[in-house]
Amino acid sequence: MDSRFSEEQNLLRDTVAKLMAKHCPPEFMRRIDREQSYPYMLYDSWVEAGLFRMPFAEAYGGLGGSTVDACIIAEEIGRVSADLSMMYGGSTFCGLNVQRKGSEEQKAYWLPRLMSGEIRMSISMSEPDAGSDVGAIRTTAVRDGDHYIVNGQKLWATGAGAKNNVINVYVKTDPKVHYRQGMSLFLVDNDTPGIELRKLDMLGRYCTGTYEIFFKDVRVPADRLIGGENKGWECILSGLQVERVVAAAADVGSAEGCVEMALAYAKDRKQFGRPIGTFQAIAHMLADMATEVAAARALMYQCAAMVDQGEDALKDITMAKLFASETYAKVANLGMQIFGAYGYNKEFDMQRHYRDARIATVAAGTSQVQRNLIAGLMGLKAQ
Amino acid sequence: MKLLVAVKRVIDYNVKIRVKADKTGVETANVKMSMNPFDEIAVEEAIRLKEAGAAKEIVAVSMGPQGCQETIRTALAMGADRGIHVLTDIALEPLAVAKLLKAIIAKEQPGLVILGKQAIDDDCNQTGQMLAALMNWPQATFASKLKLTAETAEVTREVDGGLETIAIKLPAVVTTDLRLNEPRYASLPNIMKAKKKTIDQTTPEALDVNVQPRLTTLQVTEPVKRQGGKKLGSVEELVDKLMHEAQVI
Ligand SMILES: Cc1cc2nc3c(=O)[nH]c(=O)nc-3n(C[C@H](O)[C@H](O)[C@H](O)COP(=O)(O)OP(=O)(O)OC[C@H]3O[C@@H](n4cnc5c(N)ncnc54)[C@H](O)[C@@H]3O)c2cc1C
Repeated sequence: MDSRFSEEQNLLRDTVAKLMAKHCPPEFMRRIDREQSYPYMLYDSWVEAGLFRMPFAEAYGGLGGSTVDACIIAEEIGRVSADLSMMYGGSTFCGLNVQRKGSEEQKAYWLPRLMSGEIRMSISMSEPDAGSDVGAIRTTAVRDGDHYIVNGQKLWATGAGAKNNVINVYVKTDPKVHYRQGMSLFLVDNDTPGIELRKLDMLGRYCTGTYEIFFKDVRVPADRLIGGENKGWECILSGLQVERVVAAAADVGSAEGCVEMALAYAKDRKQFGRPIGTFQAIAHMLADMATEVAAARALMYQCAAMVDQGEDALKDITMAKLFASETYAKVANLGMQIFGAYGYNKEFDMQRHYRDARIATVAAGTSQVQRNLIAGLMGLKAQ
Repeated sequence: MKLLVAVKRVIDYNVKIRVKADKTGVETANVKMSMNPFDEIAVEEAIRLKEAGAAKEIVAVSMGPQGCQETIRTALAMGADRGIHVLTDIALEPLAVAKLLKAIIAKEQPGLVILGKQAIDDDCNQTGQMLAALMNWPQATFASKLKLTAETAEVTREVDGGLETIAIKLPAVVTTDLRLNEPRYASLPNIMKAKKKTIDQTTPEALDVNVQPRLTTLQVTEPVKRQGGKKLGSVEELVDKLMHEAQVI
């Protein structure tokens, strides 16, 4: 056993792994991926086991778990599917934002509902003209009595169309000033009149789903503004560290899943009278894959521990996110090579990883943007 | 009523066992260890009895090296109330375990002791029976159903050719069979609560029990590898082989 983890953390890992094995065995995963359906019962089983309570404070009904605890959960879900880890990340990250930035009334209202599975949450920042350049968003919210009226179009919102989803949408409340001073965060039920959702036809992440959202004169009660008017940027920044490291944990888990699968296949598949894993070309490929995943994992847990210690770990965490996502994409690609034609066939699982991994270096901040940030924190500011 | 549950740390059932190169035992370094599956069933049954109001407290006991704490912690995270760890690096045989349990029973005074029918590592299937004999208590082994009243237990046992239901007086020893229940996994709230539950540590010396092994292991070897089969062309060929090669007819 790994000495980095406590007995309770080993138990936690074991429980999440057993939960996934029971409620999401490989044939089930294959089916929901093929049918592109959201696994509501699996989500409910996470709720029941207390997965969503883990990272929240005991005062609001949470379990007071650490960042390392959240990473363990994300890693074990990610091991089965990067797509499904988004279901966990969406609700957890948004909820933590509410816990950090919401008023006492807002926390008392939203957090118990989130932890009990009554609602789930998704984040919606990106727009057609605002990807890496978040500040370019154009969706607006205008005050009207005790409501705000939201208008605009959002893109690439993960999980926004699932039942009882509350969209955590970033909008401009003051378009005239610099975006850092003019953005706000609102919580909007996805069935509010004036909202139109469209599930996009993506290459992967079929189950959680990626959505386009149109807001047309959507009336949002003012008490759904989190952190105050024009304080949206602070909300984004406050969550960055935890979100990135937990996302990195999911990527590490998915990468481990790929290596396990490729290793098992290399031991089993025989050509020229021997397992293909005994050919040095394949054996070294697997040795490199395992080494890089182990390095990504070590960096990720080191960052998680730094966050728990309250250290400013932004640079390290950005490195962890960059390295974990690129490692996942890399091992999924090599996994395809090891699987040969079987990898390219949709009845086998490697192609799912291949599709889901490809976007890990784009979603939640592209590799280029992560490198910009790391370089910036090294004193290499772009001109 | 207080319930005592014995839990053993064994190599996880998913692990492919490998014999050490020097043939003194099996490889345990860097191998995943878990609670003996029959003991998980014992813990689950105890928790169900407590949930049904038939028991007040569940004490989980494990014996062996420091790592046993993790096994006890698993029981606590499933729902046991506290743990006792008998620390020793000596490989314990069933009689030693039964004697240690007897010493703990003297202190704890449980109304019922639940154990797995056997451990999946040595497959001895002796500890429960030996404990009942040492205590001079009734025993019900291979339980597939368990009902408690204040003074008796009604136990359905899996026996050759069917099921046998017996009533025994408490205190007693029950050992679990596979079909008694399906163990839960530790929920996250219980894992967090388990952090605060206590595990008392003691030693065979403190309990005044001699646990020196009575058996000597001469050698541990892998089971013989199955030789590949062969397809024969005709019945005549088969008979010929049976007569001349295998020499069984
Ligand atoms: C599957 C999926 C799920 C997503 N889920 C969500 C979600 O839930 N919520 C949400 O708000 N958004 C989500 N996104 C959006 C995601 O955050 C953006 O795709 C990402 O930030 C990149 O934006 P873009 O795709 O518009 O690319 P662009 O920003 O247009 O970038 C295109 C290319 O240019 C490079 N580039 C851009 N700027 C620079 C620069 N300054 N220096 C160097 N290179 C640069 C990029 O690295 C990239 O290679 C999701 C995206 C995907 C694909």
